[in-house]
Amino acid sequence: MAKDVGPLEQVIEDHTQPLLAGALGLGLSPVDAEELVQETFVAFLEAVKRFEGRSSVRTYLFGILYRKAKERFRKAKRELPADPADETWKDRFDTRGHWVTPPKGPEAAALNAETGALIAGCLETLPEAQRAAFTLREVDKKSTEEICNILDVSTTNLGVLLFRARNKLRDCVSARWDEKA
Amino acid sequence: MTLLLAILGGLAAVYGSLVLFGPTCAGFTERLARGDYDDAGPLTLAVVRFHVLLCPPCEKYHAQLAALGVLARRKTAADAAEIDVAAFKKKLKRDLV
Repeated sequence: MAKDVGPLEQVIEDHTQPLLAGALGLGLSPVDAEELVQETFVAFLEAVKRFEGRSSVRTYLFGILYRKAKERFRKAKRELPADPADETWKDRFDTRGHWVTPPKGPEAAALNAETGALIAGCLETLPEAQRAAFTLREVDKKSTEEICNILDVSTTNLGVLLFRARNKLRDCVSARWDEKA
Repeated sequence: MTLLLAILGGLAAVYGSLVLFGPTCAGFTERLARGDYDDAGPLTLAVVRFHVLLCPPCEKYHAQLAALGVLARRKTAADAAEIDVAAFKKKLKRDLV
């Protein structure tokens, strides 16, 4: 039996902000985040008659948000085959696993003093699934299990997405830092 | 004196076993980037700190990855501030209710 969730205005009033934060936490731009939240409420309106109250409205809405996001991230699996960045990475080490090309770029203290602007353009160059994996881990501090559920990937695939995202971002931020210097 | 020698011997044994059996710099940094250490327990974190202590390039790489997280959190906070939540709620109510 469907459960009454109260007036829709109140549902929008109470849940818009957390849903927007959740969408931004997936690495989406403000425009895309608004779009995803709107799609979530539309899907909620269509499904509300079937809502039985077994979870809270908030959990139910987040379930829809992540399901909608998952549709966007379907291509995650297509991003997993070999990436040129993997080869660049291997070239940094000799056959014994020692550094050949040690990491360059700014010291962490200098990076920590920077604003988020330094990373802005770099995040946008990442494929969506890599960006989502990185943001869910670093911004939302979600566990491996939660991220795998949201993105619908295995633990191994999540490792690949994080590995590529972090290395591409590190290279991009270092290059921007050098341009600035 | 004996105690000091025992401590030094213990440290040398830990160092030796890490050098012989621990991950190489390539293996260590790859695991770091893959997030294998993100949910690590205290013992694994101690091994991470020890490796970083012995390897300046790994230390720099480790610190740069951590700084990326700080930058991303600032960027997301700035994005959140950019959204006019009140206007968006108004729009949603107009479109959906």
